[in-house]
Amino acid sequence: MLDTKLFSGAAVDHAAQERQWVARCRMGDENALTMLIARHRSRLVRTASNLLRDRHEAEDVAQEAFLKGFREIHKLREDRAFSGYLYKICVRLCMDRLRLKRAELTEFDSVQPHEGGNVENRVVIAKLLAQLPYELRTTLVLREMEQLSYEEVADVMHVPIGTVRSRLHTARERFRKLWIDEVGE
Amino acid sequence: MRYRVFGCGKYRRLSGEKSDRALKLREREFMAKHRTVCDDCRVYEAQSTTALNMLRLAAVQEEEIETGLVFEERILRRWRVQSTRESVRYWSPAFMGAAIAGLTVLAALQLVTNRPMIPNTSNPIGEARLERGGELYPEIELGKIERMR
Repeated sequence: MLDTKLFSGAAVDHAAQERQWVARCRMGDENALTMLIARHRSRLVRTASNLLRDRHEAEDVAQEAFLKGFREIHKLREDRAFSGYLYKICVRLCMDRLRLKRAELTEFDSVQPHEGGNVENRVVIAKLLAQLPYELRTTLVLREMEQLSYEEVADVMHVPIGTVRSRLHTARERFRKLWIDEVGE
Repeated sequence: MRYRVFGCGKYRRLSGEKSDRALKLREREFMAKHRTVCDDCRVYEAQSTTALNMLRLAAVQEEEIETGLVFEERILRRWRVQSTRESVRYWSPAFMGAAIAGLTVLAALQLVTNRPMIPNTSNPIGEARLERGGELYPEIELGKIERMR
């Protein structure tokens, strides 16, 4: 019980601190900017890495997301919504990149696997995901890797929940087929 | 011999939904019954589960993200450039307007102060005569004019 209280107290502090930073950031305080970057950096880079499967590109996208977020921070109605706002920008930027990449052929010999974990599996997964259309890929990654709920995926992608459900079904089915083809080879 | 059983579509839909929501008792019963009689669906479910598990395993974790100051510094540098550029873009119409107004005022002052003038000390050179339609005015003979008293 005590732990829960402490935890919720810490969460409140966390949120209050962030609101304060956002307010200071609006006035052009660079220290607040650095604090916000330090807090959200890992999450954004992780999400972008999962979506793009390229660490360097993910860092670029995360930087762009921060810059865009800070540039348009005055448009934000509530300071506490900054985290979700930043996340949405990041996912949108990733989707834009995936859309542009669509026609390009990805050379998987040159793909640099992430350090640690099952490197071989990651390369295979990157190859399979690259064969999915970007809408299906984004939906699948947000749901399965980022563990977002249907509502959150719908909100981030600006589509109805029904669309998320149908896209997810199609994406899972296609991914399974691709996986079987890959493993069966 | 393998054959498709009635309800495979429903089974596959439910096997996908089972990771997203808690299935109802009736749905769970249907799946259990269907699984016992349909090999294809059993294989399908196993394949789906394995593929999605591999996908989840390939997710990048936050602990793997390297933390360094280079990232922050790069953003701050770009942020400063962006802010400068934006402020220049914001103020440039005002600067242009002010510059045009200043130039106009300067030109006006130049015209006023450098008006062509004949200095008082200079004497006219040559003979000046007033003419009207080529006819000369009669010369005024000052000696003949009576003095006004």
